Amino acid sequence: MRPSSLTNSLAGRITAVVLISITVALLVFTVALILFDRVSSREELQARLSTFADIVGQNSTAALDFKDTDAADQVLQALRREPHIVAGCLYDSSSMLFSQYLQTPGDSSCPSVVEKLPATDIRQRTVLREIMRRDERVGAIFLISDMHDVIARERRMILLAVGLAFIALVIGGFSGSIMQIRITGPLKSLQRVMHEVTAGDSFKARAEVKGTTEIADLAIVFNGMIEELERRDLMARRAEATLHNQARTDALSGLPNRRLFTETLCQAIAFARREHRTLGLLYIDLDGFKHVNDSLGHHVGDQLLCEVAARLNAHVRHSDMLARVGGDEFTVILRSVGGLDDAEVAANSLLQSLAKPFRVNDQDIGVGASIGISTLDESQSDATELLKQADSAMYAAKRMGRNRAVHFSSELGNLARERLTLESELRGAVSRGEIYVHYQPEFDLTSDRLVRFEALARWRHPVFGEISPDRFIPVAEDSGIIHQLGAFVMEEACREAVAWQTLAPYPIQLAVNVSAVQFNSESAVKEIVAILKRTGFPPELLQIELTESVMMGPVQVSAEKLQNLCDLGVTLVLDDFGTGYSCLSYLADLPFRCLKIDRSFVKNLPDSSESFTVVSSLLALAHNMRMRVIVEGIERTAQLQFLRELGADEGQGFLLGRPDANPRPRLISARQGHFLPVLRPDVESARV
Amino acid sequence: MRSAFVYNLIKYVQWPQSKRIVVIAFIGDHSTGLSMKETLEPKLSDGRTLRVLLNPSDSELLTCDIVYVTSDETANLSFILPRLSRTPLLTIGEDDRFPRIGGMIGLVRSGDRIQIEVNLGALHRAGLKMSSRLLGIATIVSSKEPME
Repeated sequence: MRPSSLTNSLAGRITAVVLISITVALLVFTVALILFDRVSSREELQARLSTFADIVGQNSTAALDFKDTDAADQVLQALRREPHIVAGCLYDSSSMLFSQYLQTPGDSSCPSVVEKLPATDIRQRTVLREIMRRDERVGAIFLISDMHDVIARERRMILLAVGLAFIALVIGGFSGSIMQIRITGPLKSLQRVMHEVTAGDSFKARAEVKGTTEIADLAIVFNGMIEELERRDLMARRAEATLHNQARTDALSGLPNRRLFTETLCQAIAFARREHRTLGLLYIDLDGFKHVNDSLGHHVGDQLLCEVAARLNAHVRHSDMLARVGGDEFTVILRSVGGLDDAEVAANSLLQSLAKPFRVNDQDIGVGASIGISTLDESQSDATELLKQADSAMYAAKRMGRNRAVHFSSELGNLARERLTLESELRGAVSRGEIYVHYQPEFDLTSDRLVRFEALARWRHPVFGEISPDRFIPVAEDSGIIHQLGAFVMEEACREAVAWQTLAPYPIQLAVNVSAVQFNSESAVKEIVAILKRTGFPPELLQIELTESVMMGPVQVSAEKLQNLCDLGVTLVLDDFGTGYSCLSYLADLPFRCLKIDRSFVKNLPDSSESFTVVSSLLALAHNMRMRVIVEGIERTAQLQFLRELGADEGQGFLLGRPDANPRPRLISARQGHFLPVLRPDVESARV
Repeated sequence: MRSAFVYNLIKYVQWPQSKRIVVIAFIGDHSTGLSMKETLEPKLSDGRTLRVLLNPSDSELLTCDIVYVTSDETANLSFILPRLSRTPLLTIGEDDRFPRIGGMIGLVRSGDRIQIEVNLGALHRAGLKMSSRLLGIATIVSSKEPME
């Protein structure tokens, strides 16, 4: 409760203090003045009486000497001029009454002898003076004076003093109020400002600097205090915001962290359910990031992560949210997607954004990503389930060869379980001799000659039987078994290919696939050189097929390795061309001699105009880059015919020859001049 | 009675030279003079000793400070006064004519009282001063018949 009574307010107190002090001062002054005047007027009266007595007494000496009462009477008559003197008594030297003067006879009288003087009346003043001539006492005079004059004068004095006191009080009160207003006025405005600051959220209000020095100083100090408060408040808010952000932000990338992601995902799911929308979730894992961290250090790895985060973020819609949920793992919440296609478009756009290598610490680093997509529809459950689905879809993307986006399906769950079994089985597969090699021929489409065989790894499991490379290669890559597996296949193939050279009429090349994981290991080139030495296979006949994902990681390192291989005489082929998100400008600078167009583009040829456009464009592009083009997956004569017309350099496919554990008979027929018995439609039709 | 007056008068008169002894020449009948002598001589007036010479000679007269002339001797006054006029000699008479014919103070009987009459001109000429307080109770007269 705010005390507001007059006595408790500063204004009231100032006024009261001023009035009380003025009153007290005036009272003291007035009383002192009156008392002083009273005393002095009485003393003055006494002095005057004494003087009169002396004068009259001296003037009466002769009358007393000569006993002349008439003369004495006459002298005493002089007292008539002093109206306050009511009686004058003259005594001779023997103290007997000699002569007297009475103002109004009857009112009073003189005592007959000096000793019998009347007691002093309070309203009267008396004086008794001896009349002396030198040492001789001539007589005495006794005067009685009334106090009318003095009292009247005192009354006038009191009246005047009270009047003056009243005027002073009025003036004092008036100036006190003015002073009070001048003091409390600025205080009140200060109070108003303080109230504004207290009531409102804002610290914008400032007190006007006015009034007396002290009040003005108070206003200045007060303003300073508000400014300080404002500053502290701002700092507190900033600190609060920072803390809030820190708890929900990834310090490295500045993106939301797992916590904020989880919160947002729950909200987004609730919102999507309410609004009957489809929610999409992308789980992104960077390919080859571990390799960057291992070869270039965490410092570069961290910088790369920031760059990746920034680039991904630039390709995420404002309504969606990108978060970093782990080392090289990101998630994107797609708040509203029309369906599977929308989510895939979003995922592919992100993959595309990563195609161009990153420049960190003066090094170009290629980055790919495996993206798992899951979508929330009516039937689906909660955030945890959605995240789990995206996560397993992401693993599926990795298994399918990385740098791609895969949508979740229920089969993926089985794949995940299968994967664990495969991994444990695969570990001993090479040493147990379960891995063997198939060779598939590749032909020159202009000369129809057999050019080379591509070595393909095969796994025959004693229980599960033949297991497709599509299934076990990703597992091998993920688990690191690929190093052992790849080396085994290459050595096996080289050994076999050395034998071919004696059977064939011309040198037959060998194509070996090297996984990006394998290639990115530091000792990759050294191992290849060692194998070539051990087997004695000439490097000029070796063709190494690499996918675009070799460019994941430091571009410079990869480029150097490629150049080293090239310098050995090894031919480098870019495998599965067109499926990845390679940056073409970089490819042009690398020592690839040849492209292998992925079978997926060939499958719909020649009927699909889309496939036609893609394949013809790829061919034109490759030729412009002065590269030879191998087309794989040729299964029909029409496709072969068509590719010939488009100018494909080499071909491979079931139509031309299936992978076979034993390629030697084909070599023998080659020596006999049988190139491709099915190469000519007429030949084929003739056979049919 | 008149002795007391003389005694008091001396208190109000100032001579050119201050006197330690005031000599009074009494001119009149011997018995009156003697009683005055007996009255005044034991007294001190303002600390001064009083001396009364009864009917002094002319030479003695000139050494006196006061000449007191009784009313019986007023007839001889015209004879006495001119001789005294230029000396600081206070002349006191009993007759009311005394101050009017050149005397200075007359102690004139009026009923049962004695009236003091003063001739200021005569006092002044003699170089004497009289207290104004005495003048307050005295009657001032002047010489009506200037001496030719």
